[in-house]
Formats: sequence, C-alpha cells, structure tokens
Amino acid sequence: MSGYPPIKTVLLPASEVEISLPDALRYMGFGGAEPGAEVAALAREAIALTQKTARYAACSLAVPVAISGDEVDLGVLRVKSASLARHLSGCGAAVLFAATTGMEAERRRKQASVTSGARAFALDAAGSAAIERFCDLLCRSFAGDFPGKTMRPRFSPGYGDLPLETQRPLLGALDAARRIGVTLTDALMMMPQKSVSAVVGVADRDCAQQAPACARCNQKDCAFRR
Amino acid sequence: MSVLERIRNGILYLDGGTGTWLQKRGLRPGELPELWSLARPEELVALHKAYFEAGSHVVCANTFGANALKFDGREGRPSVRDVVSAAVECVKKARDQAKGGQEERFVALDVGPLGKLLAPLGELPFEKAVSLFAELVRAGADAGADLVFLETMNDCYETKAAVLAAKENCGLPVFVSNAYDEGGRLMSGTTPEAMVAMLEGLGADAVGLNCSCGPAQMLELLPRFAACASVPLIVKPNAGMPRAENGKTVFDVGAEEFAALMKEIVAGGARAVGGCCGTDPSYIAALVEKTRGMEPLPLTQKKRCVISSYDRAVEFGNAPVLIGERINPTGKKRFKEALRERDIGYILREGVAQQESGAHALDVNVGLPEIDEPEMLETAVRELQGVCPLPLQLDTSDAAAMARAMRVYNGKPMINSVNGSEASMEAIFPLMKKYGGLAVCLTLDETGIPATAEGRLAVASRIAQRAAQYGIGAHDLIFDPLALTISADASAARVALETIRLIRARLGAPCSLGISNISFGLPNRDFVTSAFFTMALSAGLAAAIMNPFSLEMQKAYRSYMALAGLDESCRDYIAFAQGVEARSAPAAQTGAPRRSDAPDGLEGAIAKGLAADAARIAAALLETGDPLSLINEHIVPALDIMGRGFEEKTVFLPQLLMSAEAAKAAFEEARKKLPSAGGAGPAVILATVKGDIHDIGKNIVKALMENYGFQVVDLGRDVPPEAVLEAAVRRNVLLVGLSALMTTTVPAMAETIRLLRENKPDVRVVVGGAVLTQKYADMIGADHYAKNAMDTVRFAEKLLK
Repeated sequence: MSGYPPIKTVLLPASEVEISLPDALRYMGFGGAEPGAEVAALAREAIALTQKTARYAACSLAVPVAISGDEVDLGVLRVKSASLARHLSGCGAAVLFAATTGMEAERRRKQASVTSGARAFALDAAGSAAIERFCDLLCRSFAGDFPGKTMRPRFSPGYGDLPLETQRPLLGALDAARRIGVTLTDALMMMPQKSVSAVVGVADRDCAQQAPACARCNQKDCAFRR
Repeated sequence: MSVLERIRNGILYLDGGTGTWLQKRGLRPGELPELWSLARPEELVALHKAYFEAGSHVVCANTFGANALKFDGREGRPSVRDVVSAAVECVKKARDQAKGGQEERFVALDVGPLGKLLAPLGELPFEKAVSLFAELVRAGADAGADLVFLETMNDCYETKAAVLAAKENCGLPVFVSNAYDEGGRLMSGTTPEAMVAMLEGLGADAVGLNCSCGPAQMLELLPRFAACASVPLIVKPNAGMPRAENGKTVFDVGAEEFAALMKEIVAGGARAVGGCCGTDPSYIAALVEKTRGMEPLPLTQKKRCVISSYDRAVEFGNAPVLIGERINPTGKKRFKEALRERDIGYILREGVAQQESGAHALDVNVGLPEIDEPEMLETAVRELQGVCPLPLQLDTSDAAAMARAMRVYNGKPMINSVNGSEASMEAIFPLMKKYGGLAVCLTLDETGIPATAEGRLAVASRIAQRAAQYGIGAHDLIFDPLALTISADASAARVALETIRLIRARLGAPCSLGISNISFGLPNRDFVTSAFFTMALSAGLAAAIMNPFSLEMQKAYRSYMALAGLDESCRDYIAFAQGVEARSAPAAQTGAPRRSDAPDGLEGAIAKGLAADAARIAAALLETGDPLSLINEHIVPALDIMGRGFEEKTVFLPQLLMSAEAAKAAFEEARKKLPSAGGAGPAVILATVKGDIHDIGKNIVKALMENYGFQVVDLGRDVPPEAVLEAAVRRNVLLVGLSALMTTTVPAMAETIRLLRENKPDVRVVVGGAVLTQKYADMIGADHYAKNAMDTVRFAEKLLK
C-alpha cells in the first residue's frame, strides 16, 4: 500500500472507553432531571451490556486541506460545502475517520427490541453515549500526531450543508468496509448504526475560544442539548 | 490435472496481494481496480505473470469487486460480464506467457464481499445477494475460470449466498476463505467451527482464512480449523500489520519471515497457501522455496455430528444438547392466535426466552392448517436467526416448507425430520445434499412404528444405508427412537431406552428424543418427563427436545451434568441450585425507595414498571373479576396516568416504556380469559418507510398503542409504499403511522402518502421520527405530525374511538 498515505486502523478495548451514566441518561431524554431508581438501574444495565458487547474499532487517514470558495479539496476526496469550508478555514491538514462500536452490540440491540422496548431504548442510548465517547478519545489521540496544532471539533456528512452523499467517498477512502466492517445502506445510513464518520480539521492555532459543541449548534429544540 | 486433484496431491500455491502492486503503478484512491483489466490490461498480465513465475499454481483474476452494485452496464459503465471476461483473459495470457514456476496453472474467479450488509440486520435481501453473485459466477465460468475463490467475506450469511450462487451456476470447484479477527471470529460473530460446519454442508471444496491478520496470528488460529475441517485448508495472511514509515505504509513482516511462518502453517495442516495485503511475488517465491519438498498433512474425515448458527456450532455426542420445544402451536391457543395474526414478535420472544433459560438449540414448528406454512416457516427462521444466536431445528412435514427454510437458514440446520418411508427420504436427502444439515431420523416407516427396539434399529439401519446412496455421511444423521406415551403403552419407555442403547452399540450413532411425549395424559407430567430424561441420558441419549422453562427438567439436566463429570467442580450445578433457592424465597425488597404517592396493587405495579408483579396481580384479580373491566378500569387508566406525566414532562420515556411493558404483561393475562382476539380495538398500521431501518421509535409507539387497546399491524422496517397500501386495503384500516429517521427517506414517506391518497382516500396518516418537523409533515401531505409516542396515541384515540 505504499504510495498512499497510510490508513490507520485502531482497536480499543472496552475498558478504555468509559460510558458515563449522565451521558446515557441524556440520550434517554432526561436532560438534567433526576432519574428514579428503576430507570437508573435500567441505564446501568444497558451500559454494562454495551461495554460487554462493544468492539471499538476506527480507521483514520491524515490528508492535506485546500479550500477555494466553498470547494474543499481533501486529497482523497473533494466536496462542495460552504459549512465545511468555513469550519476548516485556517486548516492545512485534516484527519478523516470512521469509528464504530461494532456488530455484536448491534445484534444485542436488535434482540432487545424484540423482548423489551425499555431495554432496547436504554441500549440505544448507551450505544450513542459509547460511540460519542469513543470519538472524543480518538480525536484526542489524533491531536497527539500534530504537536503544536489545534484540532477542530469533528464535522460529519449531514452537518450544515455537507451532503450526506459524502459518506460514500469518505468511507471508501478509509476502506471502512474491509477494515472495520462499516457499510452504507441505500439511504446512506451506516451499519452498524452506532458508527460515526467525520472530518477533523488541524489548525495552526485556535480561532478564538471555541464554545462547547451544543452552544454552537442551531438546533435549539434538540432533546439531547447539553 | 484439475485443481482438486492438485490440492489432494500436495501443497497448492496461491498468489499474493494485488492492490498494493496496482497502487504502485498509479491506481488512485477510490478508483475501481477492476477497471484496469479493460483500461490497462498489460499491467494485470505483468502482475499475474510475476506470480506464476514465482511459483503460484492459482492466480486470482482481477474480479474481487466485480459485482452489479458497481458494474451495472449503464451510462457507459462496464457490465459485470465485460469486467470479468477482460480480467480472466489477463490471467490466461499470463498463464500462457509465464516461464518457469509450476507446471499446473489455474485461473481463479476472485469473489469478494458485496459491501452491503444482508437483511435482517441490514437491508440487502438474501436472494438479491445470491443473484448478484450468480451473475459474477456465470461470467467467470463462461470466460474459462478453473475455480471460484470466495475470499475476505466477514459475514456468514453473505458467504452462504455466494456459495449457493457458485454451486447453482457452474460446476467449478469452490474455495472459501473468510476474514477472521485475531479473536477467531468473523464480524458476524461466527466461529471457525460454525463456518466449517456450514461450508462443508454446502459442498465447499476447501475452506480457510485470509486477510485481516498476519501469518503469526493465523498460525495461532490454524489448530481450530485443523481440528474440525475434513476438506483442505486455505491460509492466505497479510504481510503482518501495516504501519506508517516516512509517510508511507509499510507492512511489518518481510518475505523471509513470512515464508518461515508459512512453513509452520503448512506443517500445521494448511494445504493452499499464499499471501494477501502487503505481499508480492517475492513473498510467494520465498514461500515456495521454504516449503519445497514438504508433504502436507493427510486429510482426515472428522465425522463431526454438528449443527451451526451464524454464531456457533453445537456438537452432539459429548454433553447432552437441549433443544427448546416451545415454538410449536400444538396445544397452545395463544401461539395459534399469534400465527393467525402473523405476530412474528411472539415467536421471537419465545425463542429469546428459551435461549435465556439455557436451551442450546430451538425447534421451530409453525404448522397450522389455515396458514401458509412454507411462507411462515421461512419468515420465522429468517427473523429468528436475526435476533437469536442459537442453531435451529426446522420442524415440518411439508417438503416445500422444509426446502424454503433450509435455503434461508444461516448456518447448518437440524432437520426434523426424515423417516424410513421412501417418500420422506426422497424428499429430504436431496435437500441435505444441497444445503447441508443434520437430519433427525424417525425410526418408523410406511408400515408404522415398530413395537420392538430391534424393529426400530432395523429402520435406522435402512435409513443410514439409503442416506449413504445419496452421499450423505452417517455423521449427518441422528436417530429418534420414538418416545410413545406410557399411559397408552406400558412398554413405551423401556423400548425407547433399549433402542437408544442398540443404535449406539450397533450403528455407533447418537439419538435425540422428543421427550415430553412420554408423559402425555398424566397429571404433573413434568415428574415423569424429567425422570425419563435422566434414564435416557444414562442410556446414552445425545439430545432432547424439551421444555427449558420446566424446573423439573432443569433439575434433571443440571444434576446429570454434575453426576456425569461434565460440570467442573459442579460449578454450574451450584449456581443453578442457589438460583432456585433465591427464587423461592419471599420476594425481596428491590431496595428502591417506594414512591409514597404511588398506589399499590395493579396500578402500582404499572406505575413502577414492574412487569412480573403486574402479571401476577392481574392473574389473581382475574380469578374473580372480568377481563374487559380489568383492562378498561385498571390497566388503561394506570398507563394513562404515566402517559399524561410524560406529556407534562414529569415522567420520562424510559419510565413510560417500563410501564407499558408492565401494562402489557397484565394485558396478556386478561387476554387469556378473553373468548378470542375479536375483542381487540380498531386496527392501525405502523411502518418504518422504505430505505429506513430504524425502528426503536416505531416500536415504542406500537407498545403504547397496543396497551391503549389498538390492534397494531406492524409492517416492520424498510417497507415499500405498495406494501403499506396493500395492507391498508386488505385490513381496511383507517389510520397509518409512518416513521422515518433520515432526510433521505422522507421522499419514500411522501410516496407512501401519495399512494394512499390515490387508492384509499379514507385513510388518515400520522407521521413521526427524528427527521420530521411540522414543515416536512405539511410538505408531504400528512394529516398529523406526532412529536412523540403519546401524541400518536392521542391522535389515534380522537380519530378512531
């Protein structure tokens, strides 16, 4: 595979990805409210099962960034997106990545949906918390490859005006199907469902104080807003 | 010499990596390598020639991704046939031009994964996968390939589709190599033991592993394959693991180290060896040199008596195998209702519950005269294997049903049953040859049930001989000595036990019994059944179709395992026995603080989401009370309090769901006392639209609506607009609920609504899902946009009640 920039595949043991109870509860719609004992038990059980069955895997690729208007050239793919162009302005490079919590966890969620709606719902929430936490850890590790630089928050197909169709060339460039088993349905949904693909910009310096993710987002009525 | 003869006579050298070479020659990221067979064939010829000259017997054509998903022949794109014939032509040229290397040279049609996940987990239908592979195979056979080489697939089901396609569309040998992770599983969770069982049943000519790992990891996994495979083994590792060096990718195992490890791999039992990612002709040359003069290990017939699922293999003859009997409508009013209503969820829940009670496999019987049994058995198997990792025993006397179920089964099935009659054997044995399977052979025939053990042994021998004529090995047969009913025939148990001993001694074959039959007509049947079970296990019974929920049966099984020395330190027995004690102790406090404002009794159980309590209390109340008033005066109001709390944001979704489950448990008790399902409320259709496979939201709505008395017709996910219309017309429903999660699937929702408006204008449509907004809902013409599940319930109540 020499001649291509190398795609890195990472497998992380579940013990290194901690799923917090507040995160799981947030995805269960609790916001900041206190759960009762039964719901807390449901959430804890879901977290435990997710940890037992998750197989955290990711593949990543460092690429150069060249922006011209709203045309963004990422070396292995090119997209037209004003939002992404804005998001990556000042970045000379980026890291493309795809990450997943794996197929076994997906099967367990499917099994739960047959036996208990509450359990299925809790597993889904724990799965969301898990993949987001995994992505946070990954982005932190990417920063280690670029000392002295700042990593921008991750930006996925579907954000802003970055078309969902970008998923195909993005996952293709990462060889995600072969490396970590992530494929796309015809409607561009990733399978396993608890998977994320994104572009992480590498900036020379931070552009002012970055507000936390939710504060910067326009979806004010989102049920999962922090 | 054919490639099969070649592999039986010695080491078969495969080729190495292709992608790396092409990338060095300028293949760009995202560019399809298969196109080079048309655009730059001289590059492929050079590569293939280098491998032949390095010593490869088999060189793979550049057809790894040559399926119709990428090459549909439209808009200037080449067709599968174009790409395949060009690719095969390149190998043939190289074969003719190569100087040196091996005398025998073979062209392999290379078949890789489709890149789409199969249903029911994904959305690609099994038969569509088969037809995609079939097109590729036909093109390869026509172009003159010598064998079909399936490689790098990480899904058991996709592999089955590909093997079937190969077997149904050409007469070429089929080699199958899969991508296992370091832990020895495919991404579908499948173990080597399960894959080998399935693949040998389907007639694969060689099996093994490639890609994913380097030779050191494959050397570690090899013993598992060598222990269970009777066909030649393939090992085709990567050149170790890739790492970055000066901005380039470098694999960490060089050609010499690779060859040294491959030598050990040949010594460990592999016959077909080569390399995958990161290897090149120098690796193959080193490998050939290092293994020169080596004789591969002899092939041995393992004769395993085994079944498998997508997840695991279950072997017969060591520890007894428990086959759950509960998925069977005989004598079960509720089950029959579920079959008539096509309540697949009911079947799935029974399956999962039996798994949780310790069953090792599940019998699946959906035989009911008034339904389409072939279609129902196929559906039940398809859906069950999507949620349950246990192997299945397909139980039907309808040959068409058996054929359909065996075709879609994900693994090597158990077949219930074949018997000594010519008609039965003629129907079942050909299916076994095609799809693989372990057949339960009933020791009866056209003349009836032999009264003696010798008589039943004679039928068993005859069946084994007849099976051999079809090429079916004795290890793929397990015999049923027949448990008749002691209340009708005093010798029933004695004869069955004697038959087990005789069949073991004279045929060396295992037996399986449908154990519960022995006690038919007696009170406290479990006592007799479990005692008979113990006696049969002592006589050498290998498997029993039994009720895993029965405490008596669990006691007998667990005790036997400990007594037979099959339970190390009696660990499992102790855990089981202590569990029994804990359950029979008075119900412990959950430790959860009691909500002082929560009512007691049924309303309390529902409010707290305690399903087991709710069921118990409801059952007690129903001894004196009327089911309908229990539903309308207690269950629904209790749930409604939770529903209103949810709307007011004092109760959250998980609590609502737990309450819905508790209400449902109470409702099931009431249902037992209701005359028939005719008491159900207005019918409502729910579906996740075409292209979308999210269903958590839809399932939440379903759970609530059922508890509010609606009859929910759940069409599932990825439902085409026509199917929604068809169901709406056939069931004459007045309300359809559609769910979608993604912007890409909103058009399918719009299309569904349009079809309904045109053809059934009295239907109202409510829509929901994360992507929906009032704006979208208005745009697509929905009658109502439901922000959450309760909103849907309220709308339905206003509309229909």
